[in-house]
Amino acid sequence: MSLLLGGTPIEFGVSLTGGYDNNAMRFSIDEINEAAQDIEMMGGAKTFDSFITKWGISALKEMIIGQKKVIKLKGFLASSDYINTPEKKYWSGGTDLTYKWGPYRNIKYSLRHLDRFYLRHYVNRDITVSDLASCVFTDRSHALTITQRLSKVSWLNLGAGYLQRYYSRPFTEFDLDIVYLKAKINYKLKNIGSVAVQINQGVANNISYSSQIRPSSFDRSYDTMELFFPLKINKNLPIISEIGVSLRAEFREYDAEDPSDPLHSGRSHVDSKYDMWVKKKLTDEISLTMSSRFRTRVTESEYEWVDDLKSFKQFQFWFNIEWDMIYDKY
Amino acid sequence: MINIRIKIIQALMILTIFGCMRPDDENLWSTVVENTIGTNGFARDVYVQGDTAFIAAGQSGLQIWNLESKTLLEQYESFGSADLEDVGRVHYDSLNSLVFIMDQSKIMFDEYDSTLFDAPTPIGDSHNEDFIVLSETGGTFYIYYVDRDAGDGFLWGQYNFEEIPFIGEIWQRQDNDGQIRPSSPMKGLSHSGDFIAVAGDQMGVYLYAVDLIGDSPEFISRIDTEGNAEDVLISNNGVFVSCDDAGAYFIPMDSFSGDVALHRFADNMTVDHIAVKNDIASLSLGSKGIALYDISDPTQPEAKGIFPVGYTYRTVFWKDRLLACTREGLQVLKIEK
Repeated sequence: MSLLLGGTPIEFGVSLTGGYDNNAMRFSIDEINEAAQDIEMMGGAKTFDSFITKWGISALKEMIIGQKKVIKLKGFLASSDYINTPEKKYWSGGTDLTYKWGPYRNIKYSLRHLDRFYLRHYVNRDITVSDLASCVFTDRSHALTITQRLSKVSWLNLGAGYLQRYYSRPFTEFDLDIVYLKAKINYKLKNIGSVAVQINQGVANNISYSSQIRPSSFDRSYDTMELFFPLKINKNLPIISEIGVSLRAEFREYDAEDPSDPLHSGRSHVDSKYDMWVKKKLTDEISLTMSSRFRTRVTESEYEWVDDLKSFKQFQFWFNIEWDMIYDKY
Repeated sequence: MINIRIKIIQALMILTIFGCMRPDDENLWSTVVENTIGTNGFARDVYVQGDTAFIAAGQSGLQIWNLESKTLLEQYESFGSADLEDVGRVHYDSLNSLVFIMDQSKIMFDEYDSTLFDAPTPIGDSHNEDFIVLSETGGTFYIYYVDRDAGDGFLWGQYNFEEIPFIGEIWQRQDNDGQIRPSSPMKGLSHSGDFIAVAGDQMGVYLYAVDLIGDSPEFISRIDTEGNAEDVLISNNGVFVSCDDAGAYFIPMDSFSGDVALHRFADNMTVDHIAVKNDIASLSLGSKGIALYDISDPTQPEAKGIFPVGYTYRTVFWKDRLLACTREGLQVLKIEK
């Protein structure tokens, strides 16, 4: 029994994506009206919408360590550029380490990083009463997922994760540590494709919150639950290779009950993402994907102005081309 | 096989431990309200002598507290047979044991004894905005005061404790008083060393030389600022100016005699008053509370936080604490860097 480091080739992937986002800074209708009077709210952007370019590379190495037992190491890196939103340029990356001991039987450790993701400009209330500064955060996520086959047509993913969402100066008051559990049941639909149901349950702890006397000292901790229903059809399709739809809905409820904090006190929201995609494999190596997302966040609070301020709609459209390659030095 | 599993577990542990991020530190200061002295009326000003605080408590008159024991020693809501009207400023001259207050009607002073405010001596009129009292020897003090009525402007006078025939010993105003009538209201005063600075509302800040205490001020220069100069403070090497909704300025002393260099900060805030100790500047922001600045380099004040401690009129440093005069009373704050 040995680790066959050189026994399999390294698979590479390169992708290029063009996209459009009609509300890149996730403004509510009220904020869009307000921004018309106060252009500084938009940072360096001149428009609410933006075209996007994104490129990515990925690599996968499998190491066979025995009959049916494989270790997979996968890494990817992507860079996104919102052309009409100058502050919104970021990279993301990650790695997966998987130990597989049979079909649909594996354990996977995932590390993800999202670097300096720009949200929008906010007033830095810690030191000013009106000056705006760009609000940027970085995500680092660790997750462990176990996959177990349930039957010939179904399998289960169970996982737990720890996400650090830390904001750059001057908005560290938003820093969150999020711990979550994840469960997903997948079904193969014979001659059709697959369908799944996923539920995530998490707790976000606002680690930078303290009872210090600051204008920004509000507890932003919350409980979250996310449901995800993807349906993928990839069998017996004419012309195209795959078509899919999914619904992802997050239900978030803030812990704050302080009446002096109307922005968070008793606030909850439902953040729904409706996705649709179509994929066409041109060759074994090259594929095209068109996808779109309609996102809507509906906020509920005791205060109508908070409902209006924190609710928004967003539409995104993407066109992606991907080229898979194999490098085998033997 | 065992080696591989151990290596994988080791790799996971390393990734998990070293893969975690550390949050940014904004390097702000924080404050803790250690105590609030309830004054009933708005705490508008405080003068501290040792652990004794003389508090101008607005419509609750003058209150005298021991800050360590947090006990009210005395309270005065009237003088003679008349009520005090919204006391806004207070000063204690320890050399002559005199208490000075300014309410809406006038500045007045009296000896700090059991007959305090039975028969105080009035100074000025109902338009006074600020005053400073200087004394070097017992039996004499000098008072400089400003008036929001531009016709009165900047005034000063000397008082001696004298024997008056048939009356007895009283504080008597001397003949060497004086007055400067500017073209705008005068709002605030500060004295340090050989200088007196005056906040001149729309005209900016005036600097005068006073070689000897009691001398008539000699005009040096005036520097205009954005907004209305409401208050001033002379520090070691310059003048801090509170400019209401135009924020604040630090003006180096050299600017009054050479090339003018203005260093503006807190320019989006409404600054009513500035207190300074060592490298800390405390700005009173009215309804927004206070703002603290690191003034290690006063030409580049560094914002260290806004603290909404209630509607704040003024702040005063006491020992290693900051006293905030607020509508909720006198708050004793600890600053944590």
